[in-house]
Amino acid sequence: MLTNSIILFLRDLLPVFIMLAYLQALFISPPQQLRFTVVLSSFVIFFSTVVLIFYENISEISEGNGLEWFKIVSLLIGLALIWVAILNNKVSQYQAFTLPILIIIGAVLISSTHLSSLLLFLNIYFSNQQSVLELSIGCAIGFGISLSFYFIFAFVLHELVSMQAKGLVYALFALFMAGQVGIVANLLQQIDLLTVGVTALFDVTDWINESTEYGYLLKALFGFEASPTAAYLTLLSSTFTLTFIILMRQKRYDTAGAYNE
Amino acid sequence: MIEVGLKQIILALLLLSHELAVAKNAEFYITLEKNTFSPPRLHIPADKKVRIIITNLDNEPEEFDSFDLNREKVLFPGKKSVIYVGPLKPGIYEYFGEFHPNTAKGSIIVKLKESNNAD
Repeated sequence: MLTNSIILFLRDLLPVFIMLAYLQALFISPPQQLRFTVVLSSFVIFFSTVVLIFYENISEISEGNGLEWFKIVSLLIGLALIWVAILNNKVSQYQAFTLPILIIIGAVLISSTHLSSLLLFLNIYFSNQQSVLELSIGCAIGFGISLSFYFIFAFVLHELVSMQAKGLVYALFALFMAGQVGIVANLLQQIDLLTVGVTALFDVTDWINESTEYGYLLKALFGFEASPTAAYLTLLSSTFTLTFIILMRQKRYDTAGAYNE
Repeated sequence: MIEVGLKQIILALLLLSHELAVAKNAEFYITLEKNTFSPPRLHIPADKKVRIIITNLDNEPEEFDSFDLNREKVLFPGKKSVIYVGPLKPGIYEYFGEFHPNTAKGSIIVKLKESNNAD
């Protein structure tokens, strides 16, 4: 129970913290970061709870494939909103708080695909009152690991941005977004809507096992899969390329605009 | 006369398409009861896409998870859930219940020749 709850926190909460660190480093000015975090966290918790309440009803949509559809739609719309937010705003300069509304909605949609599953697990165990002490300790450790990683990661990203290595942070963020959206390929295969490129291309489980702590960390950072299919890799690489191009294009326009001014 | 003929043709086509659909994706069954998957080892044919129907007989949800298969599905109590897997190469593909990983675990054994459904 202890290990299991820690693993579930790493699987479902860590990606949310990583996304928060990226968004703060790239789009939110330091004075606005606390407010942004509070607003984003509140919406994420609220929306994930609403999703949890209707979880079973959602699952029954489309002949039992409702949750897959919910995740596919949330991830794709979330990504699209973040793209639109980047394209419509200067990304090389920190923006006022009005900028991140689209980013907040996008982040809430993406986060809810992770957190609703974690909330379901917590709801089952806390309501059954099974091993409450063990579960509480597991939750505290899992949350603590995720929070500690967030602080270290946010610091590293902040330093990279300060060192004018924003291009590297863009690349990492694009990889993270690609990892989040790449799962759409697996979901489409699971409900038999994607029938091309469904065979695993290679298997590196002997080197890095997805079920280990490293596996969960790599999955949270860039969607690592030990045995990816061609469809997954295609979606991963195309999302990475498009996101990175959009970020760099906006950065170039902003730099040119600032130079001309 | 012609109307009857058309109806018969449409009916025949519908039956044929249904038969083809069934033949296309063989179905296999897994049951979850007392936080344990049954059968613990499910045999499926290699290089074919199959439809796995998982019935949760417990009174709480479980999450079917498999890193080997890249599949993840919440199984609600008293409900049947469907996932498609494959085509897979011969081998052993592990899966487990995310909420009870110590008891709810099993494997899908992929063989070149179709054999018994389960051990």
